[in-house]
Amino acid sequence: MHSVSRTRRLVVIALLSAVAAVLMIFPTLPMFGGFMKLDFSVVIVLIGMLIMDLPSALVILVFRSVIKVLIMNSGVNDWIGMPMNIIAMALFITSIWLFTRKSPVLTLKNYIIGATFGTVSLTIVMAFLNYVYAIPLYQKFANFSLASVGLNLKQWIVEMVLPFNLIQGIVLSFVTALVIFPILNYIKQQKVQLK
Amino acid sequence: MMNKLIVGRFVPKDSFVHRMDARAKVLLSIAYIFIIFEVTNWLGYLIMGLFTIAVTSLTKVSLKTYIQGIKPLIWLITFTVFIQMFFAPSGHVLWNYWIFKVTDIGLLNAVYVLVRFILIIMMSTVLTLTTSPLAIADALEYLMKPLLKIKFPVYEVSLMLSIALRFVPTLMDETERIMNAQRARGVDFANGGIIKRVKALVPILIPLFTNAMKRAIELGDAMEARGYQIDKPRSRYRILVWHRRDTMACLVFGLLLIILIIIKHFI
Repeated sequence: MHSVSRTRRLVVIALLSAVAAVLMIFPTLPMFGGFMKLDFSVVIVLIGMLIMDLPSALVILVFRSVIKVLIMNSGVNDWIGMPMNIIAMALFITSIWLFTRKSPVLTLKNYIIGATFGTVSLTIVMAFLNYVYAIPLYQKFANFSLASVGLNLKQWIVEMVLPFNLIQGIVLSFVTALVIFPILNYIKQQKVQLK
Repeated sequence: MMNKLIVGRFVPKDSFVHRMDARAKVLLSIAYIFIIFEVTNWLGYLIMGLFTIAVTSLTKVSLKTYIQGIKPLIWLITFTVFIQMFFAPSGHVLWNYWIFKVTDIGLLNAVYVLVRFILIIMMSTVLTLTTSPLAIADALEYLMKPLLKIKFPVYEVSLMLSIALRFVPTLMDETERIMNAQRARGVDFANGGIIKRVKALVPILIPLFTNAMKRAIELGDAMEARGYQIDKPRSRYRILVWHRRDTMACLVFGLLLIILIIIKHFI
């Protein structure tokens, strides 16, 4: 690879990470009465995947999380939530990549298949991680048990975690489609600039 | 307001904590979280609390700023304390109504959890208030250096982090400006159904992305023109120096840990 475009790629990754980090802070969409929040940083990560490649997109994904913690550290929430978020979103992006990488032009059909697959895998992994990692850890930290509130773990996952992540996957896929498809030509031009 | 949020996190001052090496501060704030889990009784919390207050007063930043740091988490804290208080599984019952039950153990746990929450938030706020994001990025570069052995591109990573951190305030302003421009055209971001609100975001995301791309390519070319080359050794502008006060701070932390372990096992 030519060295000019290597430097360009490096800076593009840095700036897209910065944009994604900003988007983690605002604008966000509160859901379930403000109890959970949906951010749109993944849209930028997905565009990064389209103009570069999957590894670059994953780097952007990790960077935006590190930067967010550096500029707006919200303590325990981040320590527990961030690794989970990275894993889930990496899976979502990789699924879309798997289904769209073959055809030279991004088609709506491939995108929908990839996004559906991504949403499903995101939801399953989040439910699993909540079960084995987040809730036990949170319980240990806050020193309480869900059982004592009259909730059991399965119920919590079925009623909160599953619907939230399903909606999250669908909304993110929808927004990304709305952003990407009108600017496909622009994305193609940028791709040439970074080759 | 957004500008304040980001710039307001780091308060440039001249205090003992500000002058400390960023590496020491990063390491010690991570250590603090592990240490606080060693605390199990009131005496431990008292010592930890006094220690944290001492550190915050050493930063010369007003207490109000710290309280603002706790604000965004007030929901989570209230929720957790509430659960602790009313749904304690055991203990002597003090008050009982319907499914709510306040017990002495529950009350005690609620207080502990509240204190633990506040202490951890205060300590991580100390790091972000007294250390500029760039200094933290520099510190991370140093701490990642052992990874060079496994061919991890430490220098590129830290360069990318620094560039990204440099542009976060700029991009925040830009997002604000684009949103205001859309508002002036009558877009409502705060009301309406989920689909309407999601659709309103598209005209923010596209200009944000295209502007970032333009800036990135220009900056990349400018760096090239000034002779930047990946894989070539670089000199540095900001140099981190480890002073005696950093060693001292680490020793104080070690002492604190020893005291807490003694309290946990012998009292």
